[in-house]
Amino acid sequence: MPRASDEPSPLSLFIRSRRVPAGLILTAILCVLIPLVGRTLLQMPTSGTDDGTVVVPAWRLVAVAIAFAPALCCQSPFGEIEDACGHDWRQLRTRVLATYSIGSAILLTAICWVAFSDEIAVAVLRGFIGWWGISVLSGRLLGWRLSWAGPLATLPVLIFWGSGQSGPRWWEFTARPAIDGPAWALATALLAVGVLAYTANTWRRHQLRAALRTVERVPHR
Amino acid sequence: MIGIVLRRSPARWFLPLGAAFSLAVLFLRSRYWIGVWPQTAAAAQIPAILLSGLAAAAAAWSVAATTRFGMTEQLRAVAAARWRRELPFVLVVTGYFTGVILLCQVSAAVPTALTWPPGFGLAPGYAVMAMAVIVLSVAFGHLVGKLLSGMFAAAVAGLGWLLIALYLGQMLNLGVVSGPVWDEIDLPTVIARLLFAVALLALAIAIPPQTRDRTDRGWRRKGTTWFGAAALAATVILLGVTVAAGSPVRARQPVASPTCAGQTVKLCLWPEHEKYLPQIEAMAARIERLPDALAVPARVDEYGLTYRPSAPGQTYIVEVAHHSPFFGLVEGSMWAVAVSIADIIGSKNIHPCTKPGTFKSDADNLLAIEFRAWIEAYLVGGTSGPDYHTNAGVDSQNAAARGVARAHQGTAQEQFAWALKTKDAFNYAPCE
Repeated sequence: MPRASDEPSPLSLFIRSRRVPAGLILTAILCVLIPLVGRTLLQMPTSGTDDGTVVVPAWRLVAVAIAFAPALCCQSPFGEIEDACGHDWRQLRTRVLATYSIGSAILLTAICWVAFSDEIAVAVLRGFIGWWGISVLSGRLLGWRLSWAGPLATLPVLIFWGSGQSGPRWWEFTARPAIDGPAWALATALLAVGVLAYTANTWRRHQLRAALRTVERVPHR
Repeated sequence: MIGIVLRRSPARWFLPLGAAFSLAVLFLRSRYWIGVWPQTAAAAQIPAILLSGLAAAAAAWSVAATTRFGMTEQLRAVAAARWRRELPFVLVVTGYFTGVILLCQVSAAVPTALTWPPGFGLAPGYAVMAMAVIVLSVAFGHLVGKLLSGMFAAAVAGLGWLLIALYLGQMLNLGVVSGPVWDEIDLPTVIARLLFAVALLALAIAIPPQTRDRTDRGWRRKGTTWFGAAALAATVILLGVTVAAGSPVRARQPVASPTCAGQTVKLCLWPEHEKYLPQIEAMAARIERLPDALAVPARVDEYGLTYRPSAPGQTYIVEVAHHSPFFGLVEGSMWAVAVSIADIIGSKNIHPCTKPGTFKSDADNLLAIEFRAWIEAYLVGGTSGPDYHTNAGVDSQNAAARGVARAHQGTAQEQFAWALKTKDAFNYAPCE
């Protein structure tokens, strides 16, 4: 459909209608913080070691925030009305989320690669993938505005139970060595859960329920 | 008003989840803390550190509730000062989180109260410490929520608090991971810290928000002004007091009448560690059964009981004139005790080369390691291996494993004969 030249594009309208600029500023601040404070070692309580403490480098905490910022930007000012939006608007939302998320992941990995080491960069990327999945799931369940709640509630669990005598446990996907099968499998599974949660909008859930009801009604032979 | 906020606050969903998480942190871990008051209270304080990030986020979230639900106009029309409108939201978030922490403290106290060991007076300091962490995090969250007043406020408050609290926590001892009996929490210091947190919270309430809600005028504003001035004055004074007081973790004074086990060899404990007395008595009896040809100390004290040779947590052995050597009973581990005592017995019997620049051979040194490992395992008794991990070389670890295995084979007389033979073999080996 032709647009008048002074009419803003759908993308610009979309970005202005939610907090994408604020999110980008937050991501930028966090990206600056990573090389500055990332090496700071924080002592946290744990159940798994002799002395009851585990040392967590600050980059692991900052990376969590970079991962949940994109999901926060899915928060719509239109509330539930947005569930009735058309295909183009949905596609636009997906494109913005995907671009923002992939861009953040690349930026985060590159910064960690330059500031720390390739080992840490790969581990950070894996952590990002896992946290992203948790934040999108949290956003879908509690509302996009609360995308941070899932990661922030999972973080103490990983810190307190994630360490053993001989290092991080297999499911501590943020702290395992860079090339670690189980940790990558878990992070990928979390990503898949996140993608599935994002796809399962009200409309699709309704369709799925309707389809299941139809299956139930078919008489067994 | 408080009743309405209490019923409507999103933090109410947190109550069962937070309680379950706190109890899991308390019980799904080593339970050595049961039966020792300071350890009990310190263990129940750990969930406060872990949950404080969520408390900060919840506080920032509740500040934004007014704008989120489009209630700004209605609340502005309320004939009360702004601080009185905000107070219920803050009280409810603080109340929910403090409730969880208190529940945790009470649940932890129950199993310890069944035996009621001495030292209950050491517990309240840790409980107040936990409350101070929660109130401080709520104050921080409220402040961030007001200054950012956007969608990111809660997330930034939560993670920002975790980063700041953990960083400052190391320097200021905001929280602790365990409550060893040789340390105590200075109650006036943590109470001053709690009061500072309350004053900061009041100041966070008094600060005007970064929204259109700033248009309060006339008599209503006066209420806010005196409240804000009082909060600012209290915050500044209490900040000074808290900074001057420093860390609340203090070394305890030696006790006059320690609890001791054994006759010819005395092993003395802090009275608060009375639950370990049967194990320590058994260990003292094993030391007394050692052959006379093996030199043993007349008395070994628990760390900090009669003197404090090093910084808290460090338990390496140093001989100090006029003082008994000491052992460390760390997190209820009898192996930690045995390691210290084996070190003392080892240094009394195994003599390294005295001439500068001369050493025993590697094989002899491995023999010494085997000897010490045997004493450790013999002192602990039973048939299990050490509960600690070392990063020593493979040869040393193998020698230690041989020593531990030796303690579980043969009769006591056979073991003693081997020990004496090994001692002589090492001591008479040439220095090169």
